[in-house]
Amino acid sequence: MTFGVPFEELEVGGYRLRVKRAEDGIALYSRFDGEKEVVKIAVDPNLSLTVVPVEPFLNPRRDVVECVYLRLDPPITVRAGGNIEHNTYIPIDFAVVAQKSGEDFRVVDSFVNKGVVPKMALYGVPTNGYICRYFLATPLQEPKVHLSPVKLIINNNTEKVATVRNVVVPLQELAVFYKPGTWISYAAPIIMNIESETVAEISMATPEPPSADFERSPELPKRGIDIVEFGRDFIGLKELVKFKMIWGY
Amino acid sequence: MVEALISQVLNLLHAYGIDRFANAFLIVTFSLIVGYVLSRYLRLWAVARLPIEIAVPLSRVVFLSVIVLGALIALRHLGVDISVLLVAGGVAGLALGFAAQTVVSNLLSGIFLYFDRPFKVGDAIAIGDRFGIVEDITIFSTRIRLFDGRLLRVSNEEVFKSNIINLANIKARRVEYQIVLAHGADATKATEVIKRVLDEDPLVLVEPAPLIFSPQVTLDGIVVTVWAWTTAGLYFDVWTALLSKIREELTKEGIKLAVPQRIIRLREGEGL
Repeated sequence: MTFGVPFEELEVGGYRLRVKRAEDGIALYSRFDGEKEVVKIAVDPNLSLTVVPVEPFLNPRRDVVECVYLRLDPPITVRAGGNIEHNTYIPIDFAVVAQKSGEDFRVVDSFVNKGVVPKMALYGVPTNGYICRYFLATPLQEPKVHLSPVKLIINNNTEKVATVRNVVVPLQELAVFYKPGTWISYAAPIIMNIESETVAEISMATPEPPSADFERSPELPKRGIDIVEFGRDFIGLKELVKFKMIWGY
Repeated sequence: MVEALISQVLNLLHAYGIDRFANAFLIVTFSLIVGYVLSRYLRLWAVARLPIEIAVPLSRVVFLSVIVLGALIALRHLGVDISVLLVAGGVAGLALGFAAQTVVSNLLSGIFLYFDRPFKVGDAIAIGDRFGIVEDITIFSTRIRLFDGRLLRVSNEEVFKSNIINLANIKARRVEYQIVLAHGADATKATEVIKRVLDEDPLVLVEPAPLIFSPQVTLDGIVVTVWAWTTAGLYFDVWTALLSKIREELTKEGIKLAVPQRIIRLREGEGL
């Protein structure tokens, strides 16, 4: 059993998931940490449960996270006018989705890899910043079930050498894909255009799957953010066009 | 012929003072029309810009003022000495003013609060030492649902004079503790334990980074000051849970916390 395949028993992220039909006809979904049952939810037996990777905003609290804050380890230095492609990871959340094929769905449970503490960080100031899911992004090595590979494309449009230490990506812009029947996931590339010593634009490449056998993870409602510009307050546009990071060399 | 007739009628009206009544009637009618039109337009303008609680009374006050002014002019045309009325009105107004001082003060404070906008309905605020959610803001008072569930009505004058902390318009808040260890406790180890607890709590933010200040030796014990940031909405949850967790972990690691104590020395030969 893997991503996107209905399960009755499954082990993922250090937890054991189980769907058990009860005598009264309802299905009981449980998540076990070792022998300890940590989550128990009754589900309509007509719904099938699958595990899919989603953007990292369900943990630690779904109603709080607005962005993903990637702290690059090590930082990346880009020559003046140059560009660089860096392969790294972004964290994913495991979402247990209840759905009848082709119909509306519901996330009944979500979790991160056991032993991983899903930390958050404030980007900006306490009165006017963003609460982000924090992640220490190391260079891509072997595939990991709880992390999605992502390509970070940095374009330095200034005339000075720039060192990038962190990248803040708004959640609406993130798109995660997975290959059903495997534990493979993939995130659409992140593009960072460095415009000046203080401003960098963050956008995502058109969210396209890397190949035809990939599926996009369910698009769940997220906390939206508006455009922010350097030295100004939010200007209140509802539709996000570009996200501008305030940063420094 | 006609002119002579009109002249005779006017003389007759003048003789009986009917023309003055007609003038007074016209003045009152005119003031009614002006007052109505003025208040109507004022209300339309004010409703779009001010809360309804302010817009409606404001337009009524203007309407009544125009009517009163028209009535005074009409009375003057009828030969009534309005200076007496004005003096009497002034005295009555003064008395009313003293009596309604609080009401007027609250009203003005309500208007100033509207323009100042220190909070809005639904915001979590602190007024003085009282914390709660703003439920309603009226022209005279503000209603706050305290965190213990009670409904507090605060006059706008008091709100206006008070120091207000708006807890709603912030993303992150700092949790602060002073952990007092017993004299002789391993402060370095305690600092490490506290740091570990902060690192393992997903609701403690990585940035701004938590701070654990160098332990200070005091009369009560060794004081370790801890600052940790969390999201504003989860402040109280984190504040309570984190302190318990820190205490629990310190105790588990064998680090003693200070307990209040007093040493009493008895002089030789003296009992209690």
